[in-house]
Amino acid sequence: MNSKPAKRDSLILGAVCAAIAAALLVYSQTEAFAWDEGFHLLAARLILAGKRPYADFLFAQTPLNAYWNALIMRLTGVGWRVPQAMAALETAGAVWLIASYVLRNARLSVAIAVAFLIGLNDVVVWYGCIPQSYGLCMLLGAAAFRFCIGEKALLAGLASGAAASASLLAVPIGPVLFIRMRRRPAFLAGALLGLSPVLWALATAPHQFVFDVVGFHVYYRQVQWSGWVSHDAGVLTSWLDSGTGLMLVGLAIAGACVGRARPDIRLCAWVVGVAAAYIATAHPTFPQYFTVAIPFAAVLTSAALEKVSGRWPVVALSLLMVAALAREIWQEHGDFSWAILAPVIAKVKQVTAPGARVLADEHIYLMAGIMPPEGLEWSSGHKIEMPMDQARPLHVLPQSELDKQIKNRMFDVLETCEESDVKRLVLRALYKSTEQIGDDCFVFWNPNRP
Amino acid sequence: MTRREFAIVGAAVAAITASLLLYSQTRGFGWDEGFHLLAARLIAAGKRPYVDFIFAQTPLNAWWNALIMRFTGYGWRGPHVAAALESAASVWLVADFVLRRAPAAARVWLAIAAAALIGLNQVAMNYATMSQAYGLCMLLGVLAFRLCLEGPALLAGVAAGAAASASLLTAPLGPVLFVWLIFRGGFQRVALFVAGALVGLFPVLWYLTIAPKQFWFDVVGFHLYYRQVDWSGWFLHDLEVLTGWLDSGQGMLMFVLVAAGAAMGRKRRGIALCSWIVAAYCLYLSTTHPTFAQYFTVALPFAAILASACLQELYERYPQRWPPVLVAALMTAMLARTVWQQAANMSWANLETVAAEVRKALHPGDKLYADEHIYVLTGAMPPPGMEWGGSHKIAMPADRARLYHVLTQAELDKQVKRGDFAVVESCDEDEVKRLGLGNLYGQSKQIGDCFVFHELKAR
Repeated sequence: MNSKPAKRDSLILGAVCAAIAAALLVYSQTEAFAWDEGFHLLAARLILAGKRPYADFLFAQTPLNAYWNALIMRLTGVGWRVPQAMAALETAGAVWLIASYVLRNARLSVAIAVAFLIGLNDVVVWYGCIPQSYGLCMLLGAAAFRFCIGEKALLAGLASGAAASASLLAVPIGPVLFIRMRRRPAFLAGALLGLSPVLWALATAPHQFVFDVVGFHVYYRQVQWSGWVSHDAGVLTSWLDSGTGLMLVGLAIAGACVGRARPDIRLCAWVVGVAAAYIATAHPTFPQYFTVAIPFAAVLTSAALEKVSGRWPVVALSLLMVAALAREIWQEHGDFSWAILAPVIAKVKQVTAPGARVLADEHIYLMAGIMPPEGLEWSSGHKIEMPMDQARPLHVLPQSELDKQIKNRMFDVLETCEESDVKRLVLRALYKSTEQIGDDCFVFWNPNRP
Repeated sequence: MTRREFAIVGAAVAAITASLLLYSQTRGFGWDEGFHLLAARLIAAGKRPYVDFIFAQTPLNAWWNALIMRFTGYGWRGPHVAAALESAASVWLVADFVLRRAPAAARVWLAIAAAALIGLNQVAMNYATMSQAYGLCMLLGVLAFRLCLEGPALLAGVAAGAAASASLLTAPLGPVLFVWLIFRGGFQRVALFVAGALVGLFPVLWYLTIAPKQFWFDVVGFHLYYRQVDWSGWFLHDLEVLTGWLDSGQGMLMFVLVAAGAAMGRKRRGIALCSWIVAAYCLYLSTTHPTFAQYFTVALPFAAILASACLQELYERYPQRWPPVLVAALMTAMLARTVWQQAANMSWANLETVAAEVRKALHPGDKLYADEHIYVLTGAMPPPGMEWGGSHKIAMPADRARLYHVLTQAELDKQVKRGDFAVVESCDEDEVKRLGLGNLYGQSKQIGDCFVFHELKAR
């Protein structure tokens, strides 16, 4: 069965997806925040200022999402609000693409439940509403799937290539779809087009690109993560201790079993299986990485839900998703957010003179309108310890070198939200003026220069 | 039911029993069990709850633990074994109930799934394997239910009354069974049930007779007027507990199966009764402010029967055995994950180290200020008013406090600051700072989260 749905059903589903989009938009502008989004936004800001990732600064991601955020910033101004709104809309787009596909094969209540399973999944809401590449990858992955099912090989290739250009996490989607395609040359051509940002970076800065996007993850990712085995085991089994996680995984497995005769279900099962196996090998791994597989898992759940007779189990499932998400948001309320950083940003702006050298978290550089000094574009890059002659061409500033600069009072203003760094570097002794803002952040200025 | 089926389900329940026993002897620990064990220790030493010390629980579980201690020694291991076996017996009673009623082709797996839903539930594993009343209440509750449906009503009444005598949490069970018998049992069975319930409630009635004021204050007054003291955020806390199942794999699985089972099996007698019991429990337990997830373990056997009804209906519609197998496998995996994640939590092993340190510092005749567990482990008797740490939050005039054996926090603080205690043990760092114990005592040692102070400084 792959029929055109009734207009009324499409309208109702559209309204549900619009409601989910509205909810995601509200969340993106109020609560959504992740520490790692800082360097993604800063990378976009640097691109906007004419710098090139890899060639001019360290960037351990594929480049499309940073270019996309830079484009958004060019059109709407530097800041976090519009990129977050766009991420929410991308996620909502993925929800609609998958739910409307399900509506072609199943009844309306199943399509609505699938929309809730993706759009109200707590991890999707937390990470699909921030300008990291999760929203874009879900959208491009869902589009690639739809094009693949519709035998639009060029577009399927383009979308899956673009997904891999937006994040390394989406790499498995392309190869799995490629195997399924009948018109493979067209798919390949599209994929090459989608991968053009990667290929361009590889051509212009091959040494830096390979180090940043491959070398870092192979050799330096686990540095300062001595407990990554038990951490990863905890992440990989976390769905067992999450109501919505259990529902999604349980229904996806059931759907893969009961719908195995359907080619689209087989395809989704392969994508989910390969993506999950691949992401599980990213040490340390995190629950949000698996969001790229969620649209495909949601298609699997539709095969299981379709077997459930009557409307009420599906309605109950949708209500459970709403209740579980409401509880999660209530529980997370008060966590670190952009609102908490606002007074920190204001303080840094207030104490920074024009031309001053500032050491700060990426969010602060972005929102205070300060360009980071060379090597400070990504704070996690400091854990890469290597001789300076190797570090310099890769735009790496090792922690030992940074510590030296701090102790030599080379920064006029220093901002950190790591209390352990304040103690470790005895920052209070290095600066005449200091202020703690909130529970976690500190601003130091007026260095005690001899 | 064939012998082979009986043996397979028996083997599964035996495996669950072994897990419960193993857990009870290694990880089983709850902070509140300290005062339950200490109450039992005091009863074994001839003291009477309510009359001689404050005890805000109904008395049967403390009596039962005292009896166990008389045979196994004054420690935690014997009561833990008994609690694990009581829980295991309730698992068996539920599995057997399902085994006798489910369709022949799937009943073994349905019974095993029901057993797993109780015996491998992480909250039950945490709380029904230690000396609080959860294990005993589960056993007595499911026994009352089965006897009410298919056995002598007198014994059903005894079990329901005894459950309420073991813990206030099971109070709704008797009334639900009573109403059920009115509609389904006939006058004679109702009368027998009531007579049995009075027998089961004997420990409660006994104390109500000999120490009415104290019993009433401890078991009712405390919960009505003092339970929420120091719990200003109980509303949000309760909301979090009552919605906790939404964020728990086992909780969500149980909720979905129970809700579906109650709806699908509503025309079956036993299932309808289970639904009423679960509903009454949930309503009642959600009104105990603050409430806690473990309170709901008393409803678990009935919830497992409802869940098995859902699995049975599923089997009748789609004759496949994998859903109950999957449920049992998921329960096992979820429990394993939780046990692994909680491996570093406080346990009796940690407190035994603290108790050893207290023993070293304590001389004969010394007055000891300690958590209840330490009194049990060291064999030291608590000074009057120190039998239950939770009671210090009761603020009342001295004459009333004396009657109820309450030592108010203000009075206790005075005693500490006056240097009345030769040795102080506390696992509450805030209390250590508040009382300035470091300045009062010459010797101190920190063991994990706990502190031992001795050698009072001269004034």
